[in-house]
Amino acid sequence: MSLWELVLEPLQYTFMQRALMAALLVGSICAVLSCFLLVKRWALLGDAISHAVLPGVALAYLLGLPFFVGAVTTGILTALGISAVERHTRIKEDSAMGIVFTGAFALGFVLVSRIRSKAVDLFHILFGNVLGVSDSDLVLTAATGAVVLGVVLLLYKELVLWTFDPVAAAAMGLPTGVLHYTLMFLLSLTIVASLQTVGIVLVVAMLITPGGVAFLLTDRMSRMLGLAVAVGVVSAVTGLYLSYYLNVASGATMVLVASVLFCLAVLLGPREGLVGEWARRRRLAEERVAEDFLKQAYVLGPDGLALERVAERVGLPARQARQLLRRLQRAGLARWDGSRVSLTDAGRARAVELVRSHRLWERYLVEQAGLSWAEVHAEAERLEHLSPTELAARLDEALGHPRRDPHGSPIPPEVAGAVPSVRLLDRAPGERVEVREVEDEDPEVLRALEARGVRPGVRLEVVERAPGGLRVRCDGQEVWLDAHLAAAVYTHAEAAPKADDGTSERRGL
Amino acid sequence: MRDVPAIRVENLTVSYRGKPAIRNVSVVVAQGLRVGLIGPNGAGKSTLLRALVGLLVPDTGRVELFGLPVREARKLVAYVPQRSEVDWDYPVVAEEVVLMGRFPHVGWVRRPRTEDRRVAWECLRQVGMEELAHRQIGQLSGGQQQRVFLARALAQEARLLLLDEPFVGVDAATEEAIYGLLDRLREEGRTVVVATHDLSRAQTAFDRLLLLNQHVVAYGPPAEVFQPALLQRTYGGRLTLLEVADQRMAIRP
Repeated sequence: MSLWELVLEPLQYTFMQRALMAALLVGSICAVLSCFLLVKRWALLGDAISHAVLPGVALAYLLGLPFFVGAVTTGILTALGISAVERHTRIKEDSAMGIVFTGAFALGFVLVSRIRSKAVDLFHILFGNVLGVSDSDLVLTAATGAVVLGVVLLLYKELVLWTFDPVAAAAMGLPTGVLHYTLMFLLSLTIVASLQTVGIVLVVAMLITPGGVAFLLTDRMSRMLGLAVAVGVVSAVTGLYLSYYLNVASGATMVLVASVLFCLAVLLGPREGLVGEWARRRRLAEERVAEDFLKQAYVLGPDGLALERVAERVGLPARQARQLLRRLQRAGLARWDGSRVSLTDAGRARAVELVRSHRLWERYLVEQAGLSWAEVHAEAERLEHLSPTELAARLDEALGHPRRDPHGSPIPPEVAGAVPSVRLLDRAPGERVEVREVEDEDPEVLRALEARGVRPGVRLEVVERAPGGLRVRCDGQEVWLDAHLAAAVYTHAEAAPKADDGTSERRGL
Repeated sequence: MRDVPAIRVENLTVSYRGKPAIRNVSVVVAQGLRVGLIGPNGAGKSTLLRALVGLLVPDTGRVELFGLPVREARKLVAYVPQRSEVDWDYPVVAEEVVLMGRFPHVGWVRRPRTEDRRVAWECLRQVGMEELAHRQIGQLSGGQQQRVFLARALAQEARLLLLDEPFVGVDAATEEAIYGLLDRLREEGRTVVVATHDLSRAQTAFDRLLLLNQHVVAYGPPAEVFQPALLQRTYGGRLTLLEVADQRMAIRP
């Protein structure tokens, strides 16, 4: 059977034709109102009024009036009753609703149980019977729809202003009380019109969910209305067909379809959607790794170096490192000559920006935020990725254009390597040296050095070298630096008598 | 029409939450002035502004704006509350919020015209927010939100603007935008009343000061009104504020 036949087959029955019409009408009317209920936080008012319709139906039967009249009357009376309780007692809105609508519902239940007639089928009132829609029901629903849509279209701008900013609406002279009761009246009408299709219990879902779905998908009320109607109609029609083919309750199926659409919106919505959020995070993480790659390639080997060394520093497996390199090549940031990675001018510029931002942040965090120099590397590692160039300029300004970070590394455009450093480990006993930089990656090492008074700018005298490290005099005190600590310290070359003795540039940030 | 005062308040007493917040306030503000409304917290500054715009009903006394009762003067007045109590998640973007200021001109049932959209855009531009016109209102910073609501008040093209503490909690850019706006509004001959705590700029930024502490302590040009004795009466025994006031006095030439 083709899809077309699947769609047409049920429509050979008049009751299905009527049901489809009713579903379309109810789906769209409820959806329009759902948008206003959502922004007005009236979702529960819909619940309350829908339950309060029951005594109206029962009373109408007892008095021989049309159901519609009784239902609308008790619906509106309940809405007014809730307002009255809220206004004249200390009870707040949520409790007022709960008290009034359960009372009304119970009254309805008592009356219906007294009637015991086939004409008032409790199950149908509660859960709807779209397949039993009569022509007069349909006319009533259509008329209600025309009233609701007409009023909303005419008063759209007023309703939006009032629901968004009631104070401004009042100040501009809008009769907010009239708008309040108009919306309540429309709500009561809609609920009564939906009774036959989805029933009292499920109409609440059709009055909340479509607006909820649309709200997750857009930032504008006008689009939200359109989307909500689409969701309402799709739910109602799909639910009707599913219930036909699966032979299950139609009202509940419609609500289920709407709930599924809501789940999809939560997962896929553009702003708060979980999938979107996940993709955004992933993109951000990839971006950070790419930036780290550029930075490390720049710091480790300005003239090119093996891919494995960069990959190791960034913490990437070889395969991913190759992928990343290809991406950077395509972006015109990196080059690959078959054995060595090097940066293009653009790549170098980006790397310099990152290094600059990183070192300025370190300086800022130590000087202005009062963090210890042992902690700032990790913080700066995060902040450097989030800081645009202008922010670095501001930091630079605020710090008085510093030339070095707290660990002694030059802040670009100050250039590293113009004057080579000498590792403290390579110094001979008796030499007097000045500390230029220290490795900043390991907070433990930094704390140990700090405790011993070793930091950039401090003068040291090497007292003795031993297999496990060296003893230096620092501020008149002798301290012991084991090889691990001493390896993190670099000294100014010019203070050394034998500059050719194992010079090396520090390779850290 | 030019001779009619922008605001005429006679013996106004207004209660807020059951207690009188201002008592027997009488004041006449001529058109085209920038008025600074000064007083401590709880002095009734907000109450007075809300009564002027018809949000609070007076216990006694009466208010006339441009010679008309408040109800008939709605189109002539725009009001920006201290912090708009709106739903910040509401599906509305900055431009649409400003367009709402045109509603009194558009009238019931009708849609805003091209001209209204143009005015709204112009007002957004005046507060420097045109680049964020399509941003949802909750995704703006506090200062930017405040500027959007100012733009909405401008879009009302009212002859009297009432701003309640517009400088509280905003960034420097917004503060400057507001002061710039005050100058421009005066050039256009519009009347502005600004409730403010900023005593340091009150002397230069306004043509008149209204010192309020439940009743009117003084109303007049800053040179006459910005006196230690009057400020002391306005701020009562609040020592800290008095110190502030004294400090400001020292700056005076």
